[in-house]
Amino acid sequence: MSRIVLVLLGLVAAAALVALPAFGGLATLNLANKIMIAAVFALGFNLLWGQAGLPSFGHAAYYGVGTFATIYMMDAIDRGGAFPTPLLPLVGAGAGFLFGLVAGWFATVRSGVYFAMITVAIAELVSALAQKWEGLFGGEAGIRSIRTNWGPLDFQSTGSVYYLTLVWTLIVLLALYGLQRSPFGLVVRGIRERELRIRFLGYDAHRVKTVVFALSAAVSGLAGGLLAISDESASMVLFGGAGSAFVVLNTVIGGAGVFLGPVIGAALTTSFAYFGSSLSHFWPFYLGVVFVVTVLFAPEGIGGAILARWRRVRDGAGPLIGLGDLAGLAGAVLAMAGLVLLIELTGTICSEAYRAEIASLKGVWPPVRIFAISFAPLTPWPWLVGLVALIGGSRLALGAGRPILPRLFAGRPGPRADQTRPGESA
Amino acid sequence: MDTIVVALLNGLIYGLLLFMISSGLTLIFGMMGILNFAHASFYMLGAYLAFAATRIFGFWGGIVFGTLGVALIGLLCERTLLRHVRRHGHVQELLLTFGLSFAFEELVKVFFGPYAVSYPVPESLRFAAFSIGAVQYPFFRVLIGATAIAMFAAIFCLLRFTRIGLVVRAAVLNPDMVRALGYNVSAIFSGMFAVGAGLAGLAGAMGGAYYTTNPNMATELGVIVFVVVVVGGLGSLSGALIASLVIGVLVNAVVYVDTTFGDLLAKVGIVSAETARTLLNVPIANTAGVLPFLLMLLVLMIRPQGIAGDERV
Amino acid sequence: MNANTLKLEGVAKTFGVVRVLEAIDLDIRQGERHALIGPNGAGKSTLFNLISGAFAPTSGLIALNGTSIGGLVPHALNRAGLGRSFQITHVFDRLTVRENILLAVMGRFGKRWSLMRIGPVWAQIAEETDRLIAGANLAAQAGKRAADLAYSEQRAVEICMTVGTGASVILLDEPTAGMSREETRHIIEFIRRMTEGRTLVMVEHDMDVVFTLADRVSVLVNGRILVTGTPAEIRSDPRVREAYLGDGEH
Repeated sequence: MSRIVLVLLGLVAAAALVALPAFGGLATLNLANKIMIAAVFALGFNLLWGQAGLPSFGHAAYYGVGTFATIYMMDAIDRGGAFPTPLLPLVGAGAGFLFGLVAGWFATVRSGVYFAMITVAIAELVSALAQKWEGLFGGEAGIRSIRTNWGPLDFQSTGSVYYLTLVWTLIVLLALYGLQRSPFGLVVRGIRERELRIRFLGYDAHRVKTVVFALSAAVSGLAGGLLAISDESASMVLFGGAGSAFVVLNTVIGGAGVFLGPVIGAALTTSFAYFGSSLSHFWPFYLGVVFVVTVLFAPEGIGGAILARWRRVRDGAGPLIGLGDLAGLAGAVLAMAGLVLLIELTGTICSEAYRAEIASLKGVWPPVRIFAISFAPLTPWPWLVGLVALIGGSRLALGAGRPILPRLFAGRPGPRADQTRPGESA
Repeated sequence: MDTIVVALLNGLIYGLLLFMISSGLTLIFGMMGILNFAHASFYMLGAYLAFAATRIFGFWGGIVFGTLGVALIGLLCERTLLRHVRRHGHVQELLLTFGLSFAFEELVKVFFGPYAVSYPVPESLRFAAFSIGAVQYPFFRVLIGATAIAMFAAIFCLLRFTRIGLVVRAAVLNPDMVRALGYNVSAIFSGMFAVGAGLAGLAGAMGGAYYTTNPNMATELGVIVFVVVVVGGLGSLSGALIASLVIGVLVNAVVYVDTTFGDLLAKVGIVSAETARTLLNVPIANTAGVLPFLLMLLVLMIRPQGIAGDERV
Repeated sequence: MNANTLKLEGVAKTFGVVRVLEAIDLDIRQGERHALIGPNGAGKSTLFNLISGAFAPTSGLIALNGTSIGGLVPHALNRAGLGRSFQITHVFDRLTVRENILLAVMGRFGKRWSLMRIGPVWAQIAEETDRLIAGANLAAQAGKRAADLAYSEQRAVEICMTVGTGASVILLDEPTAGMSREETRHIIEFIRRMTEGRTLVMVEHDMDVVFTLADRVSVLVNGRILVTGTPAEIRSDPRVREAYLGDGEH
């Protein structure tokens, strides 16, 4: 029964994705492209984080290397090279794999927090190189190339790029799902659970980890390749810390323990960035807050919460949504609204533009407009309303000593509680 | 000759500044097993708090405010947030501090905008401490180094010669035993976390004035600090000191090398003069930003546990 | 055939200035069950860690079937034919019992990098896995996550894994630690059954376990082997009594 529902859902989703260019505008297609690229990147990252338990905080390096490699290949095609355009993402994947093999060998010498620090440092190394080496990375301006048609296939329209990205996203999904279920995938999860045990079962853990790292880098590089095809350009900005940070945010918010979690996270944060950036300068801060709240109260992420909820309903252990859940959600929304009000007020009155306005009005503080509502910043009311909403909303969401939000997301007990064992950090 | 001495001095003082931050990171890791991603954010917050307070309390007041303010922020982070995820394990703690570092950077932008703020060393402190040949060596730079040394001496004496220090050292080795002896280990941990954060705040309040104060300063410095603790061996103060100084000196000395990679390789005959002028026209001085990472990779290859790290990798 | 499967010659280990083990000579014969006992601080754990490759010996030779294994990394040790269990249970918490044991058996059949379960060898692997699960009376639990098992069941999974790698020499680190009398009786029987035809070396505190399970016993005191002999010989040896009574244990 549940299997039929899943298959039906999958078919509906597939039909919607295939039909999107027919009724979606250019902006929708661009957003869908961005989401799919972010999803592939997050899936690659999660191979390392969710499956092998290795927290990389420098994955932008492999993404960026994939983008640059693909741009160079596009250039070669443009100048008469024979490489088929639809297979371009494989160039990104290959570059990511080779670079990941070297970087992974170093990073997986150590595990736990050392691994995390080494990945950060390697990413920074690449970023510093990209900044200095203008000949290869094109400096501030970056480098550009163009998509070339291949045989009967035309790649000039956004729709065609959309279909190419969709096909590659599905290929990556299937390949990673297969890998996860393969015997090798079992070894990888064994390393996540207890590396020492795996080694005493005769597996060369360092070699396995290096290969998984390289595979993860390859998928990230493939995502970079898709970006190159879509944007027809690459610049050193790709190597900055933001790229590495966003893939962590996407994966953790979506849920690292669920196969489609990173896809959910990528869809949500990419949409949030897309719409949020036109509404407020401070959208990354809100995203950061959402991330921290997720880590604190829903370690399994949104995907984990959905899965737990689905299991509960299937087992008849509870309704899909109860009254307490609604109250918790309402509280969370209220708290977020309060936070947004406070931050927008503060951000606006601290901005240079506002200071200049005060000066031009000879010391009078003009009203602050937030989402078409005017607030007088010198009266206590907007601040008070914001504070009350933030505190009241949090209390409602967390419950006074009886947290609603955690219960809302409660599925399994603490996901990585087992990793507190001694020697984990060594 | 003079420039070499200046470069070495600059490196030494930059290294001492690095040590002010990496010592806190390594102490906290040694005690609580937490790798604090937000530690460099404390450095940034120190600079910004001091900058904001300078207008009200003056320069020195700003530095005190920055240090104490960041210590308080650190204390709050430990008691309200980190404590909450401890039961989920170290990786969840790592994620939390990572999220905090992200949020702190964006929060600073809310208050102070996305660009660097003007937080200069006051005119009254801009004089030469001494001169080396024709170069006047600035007093404030010497002051940063002296502060770091004084701070190190204070921590060393605190840990080595006082009763509190004894309890702290014991709590690092065996927290359960110390708890059983009736000490409030959780309070000790919070206190040490606040001290580590405060040290980073002090470093930021002084370093921010001398170098720059901008929202990227946490990320930029944080990476180098990670390199320092990987090279030095996480959890080891002496390792952190050695690695900080080595990296500080290395980064500052290479700036004075006046040749490009292309020239170097062309002289040996590996590449043509043409390639040397175009693709490989990268001055060696430009590698200053890359050298710490190369050093880290080298250490990982030959001594994965770091200079003073534990043998059990 | 070399009668001495595992051979230690003049093995010593110092930590800093502390000499924990000095000049250990030990011959462990093919197919025997050998127990290492001794008062606290005698160096049992250090010796166990040296044999299982956690540390390299400061000096001396450790040989398995005639080749030196001193200082080998864990996976190489395992492929040389040495399996070990851990004092603190080391199972894969979030994998099922079947997956736990499958990981051990897969490695033995050389399927360490396999992406598909195709070919006759996978039938063999499945069969061997099922045999081990049945042997441990875990058939009903095979689909459960290892973390959800009772403690004694987890120990059984751990021993199944150690045996499942096909190791000819099996090291058990306090296999009955933390178990009730009833569970201990059960696990001894289980160990006896599972290690049939293999060489077994174990460190154990529980003298009942040692005297029921072991063919020979070595007594370690102050970093030296005091005496090696059959349980009966050890029981009647006055030096052993003195070592233990002097230490205030048993």
